[in-house]
Amino acid sequence: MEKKKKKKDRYDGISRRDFMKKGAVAVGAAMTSGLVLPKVVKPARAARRKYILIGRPNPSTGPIASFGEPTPWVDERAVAKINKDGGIYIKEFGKKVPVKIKIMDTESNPTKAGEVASRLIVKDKVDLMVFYHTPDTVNPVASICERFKVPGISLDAPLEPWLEGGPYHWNFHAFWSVEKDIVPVYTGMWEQVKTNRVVGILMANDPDGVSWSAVFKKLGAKLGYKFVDLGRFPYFNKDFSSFIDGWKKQNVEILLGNTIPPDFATAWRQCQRLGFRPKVATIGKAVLFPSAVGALGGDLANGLTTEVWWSPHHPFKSSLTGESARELCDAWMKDTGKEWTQPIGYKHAGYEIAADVLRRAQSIDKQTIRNAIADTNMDTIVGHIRYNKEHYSRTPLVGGQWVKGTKFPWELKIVYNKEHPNIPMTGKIFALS
Amino acid sequence: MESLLQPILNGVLLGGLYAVIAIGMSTMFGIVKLVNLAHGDLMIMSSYLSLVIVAWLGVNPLWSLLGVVPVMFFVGFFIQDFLINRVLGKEMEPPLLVAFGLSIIVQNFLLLIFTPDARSLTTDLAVKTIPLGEHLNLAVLYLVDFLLGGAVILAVYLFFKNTYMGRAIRAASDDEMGASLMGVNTRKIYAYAMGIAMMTAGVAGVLVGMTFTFYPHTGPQYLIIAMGVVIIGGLGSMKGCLAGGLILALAQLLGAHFTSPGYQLLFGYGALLVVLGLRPQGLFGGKI
Repeated sequence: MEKKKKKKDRYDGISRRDFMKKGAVAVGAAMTSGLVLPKVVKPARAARRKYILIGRPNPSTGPIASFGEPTPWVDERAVAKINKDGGIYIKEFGKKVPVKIKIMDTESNPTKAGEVASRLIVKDKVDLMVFYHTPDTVNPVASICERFKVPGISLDAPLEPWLEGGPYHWNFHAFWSVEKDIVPVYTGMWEQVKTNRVVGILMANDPDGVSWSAVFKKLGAKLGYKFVDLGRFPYFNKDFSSFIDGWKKQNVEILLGNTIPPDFATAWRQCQRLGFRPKVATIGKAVLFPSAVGALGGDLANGLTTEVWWSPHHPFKSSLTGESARELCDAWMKDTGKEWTQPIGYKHAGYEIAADVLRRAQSIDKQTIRNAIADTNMDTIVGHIRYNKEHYSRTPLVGGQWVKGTKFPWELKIVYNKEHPNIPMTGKIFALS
Repeated sequence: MESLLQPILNGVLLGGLYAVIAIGMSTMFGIVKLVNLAHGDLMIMSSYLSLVIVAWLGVNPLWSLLGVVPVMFFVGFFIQDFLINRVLGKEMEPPLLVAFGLSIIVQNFLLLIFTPDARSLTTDLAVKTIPLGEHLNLAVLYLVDFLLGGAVILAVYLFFKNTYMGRAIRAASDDEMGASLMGVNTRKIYAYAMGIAMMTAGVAGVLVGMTFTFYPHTGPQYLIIAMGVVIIGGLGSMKGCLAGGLILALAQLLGAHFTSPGYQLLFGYGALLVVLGLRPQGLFGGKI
């Protein structure tokens, strides 16, 4: 990567004279537009701007693009619903104005996400930022919102890495915690299968992998689990035989992972080849999406367990459209022909919160909007949202298991719900071997 | 000792796959002096091509090679003929930029058509193993990778040694002026060379697609592997390519075996650094 960049900088294909000529034209153009545009266009536009603008940094391309894929679909539906009766009443305008959104691609890159957020604030002058999907998007955008004093609503990134970027004044976040939610759900699923309580750790060398392995080793030991931790591995590792060898030697029966999907696929296939069959394999992040599960090939996905933050079985309703979780998923499947994914609910909930906040604020003053977010107390399609002193709201988490499906090749069954019995179980956990 | 055999076996087999990933890049490095930054992406494009053929005809991915390899030849030929040949000249940077741009275009083109979903070429071979002893397993898919990779490298080697076209390509690489005085159309020759390089990338793409999962953005990570192999082995050398692949893979697996699996990639690139320090032209490379 470094090499590419260096080569690019050294590029001097244009002659100096060419450069001067083109440069002069460009500078001239910039100057004229600089002279004319601000006077004529900008004040006019600012005065005539009769809408609320929400900035939406979104990972549309790159490694976490699966998270961002349904964004345009969800956004269009939600915004159409909000604007149906003319939008939201705003004091400054003295009437109802429509909500507009601007989606910009972060390319799954934290640096780029920060740049995009600054551009949305400085150039597009957004009134509110709504953003989701992993610390790679949420952390950089949140810090930019803090710096420019723009209110931000974020969802879908574990609380611990988010809190590390704090303390926050302008940002409010909703998702689950590794320590308080993931550990009980994972160990709760393990308890239902008879094992020797020896856990092998497969975690990448990234913020998630580092914090998850530390939390599990600390809390799991108290619950009587023994951990075989052979270290973190870098992204796109192509061979896991030394890990597998180590687990086999120590008689590991539970596999605990947090990896990006391609790495888990490589590792899990190699487990099969080398004859390593744990009784339970509980993997974070890598098996969230049906497409990633299907790409494992053959029957390899059967029985894998993971965390479930949202599903059609969640007994919640949208405050915006009145749809149940099931109805939202059905609409998605009807329009796209694809299986539902967990981020869809959270994306929708972001708009529920935004609409509710703006309706209560009735203003595009940033401080008023911020205070309205702080007062949020509402039911959404992902559960109840009420921010605490540290500016976050915990959302419910249950455990799921992938099994062969009827409508789609692989379907996620909810097999553990002890902390949230209102979310119904749809299957019973079974051991892999 | 027994426990050492498994990482060595895996390393050798993985090395064969690394070598076939790198061979096309090495060829272009050696002949056209072109650093094809789009190599990884074009390779992943052939994985998708194979995916389409498999989905369409329902055959084993290995049969899709019959379709993928010829198509990739034409893709390579036209890329060189219409894009890169136009900017070939004294400077190294313009072709590099074209390749870089091509890499971005291919990635986003794949994203547009195939969405960001994970894909793989599923085959029964993926989980089959041959037990060789109590602690020793031979993964069938890795063996296929290795054998097919070896066959491709041998074929490329024989082609360059024994055919008129191969000799013409080497002549154009050694002395462009001299070759064109002998009536060789060097520009067309470069296009053929790129076509051949892309045929090898086609094979590599299918093998990688069978062995690992792939996404529209997986290309660059294979580009880095290919770069490593080419730098260890030496520019444009077939033997070097095979040796480079084996060294990179063995360094990774043995390093992981003796220390911690977390340091696997570190050892691979450590080996690369050692070679760069001691023999900057690569093990089998000529003078720079």
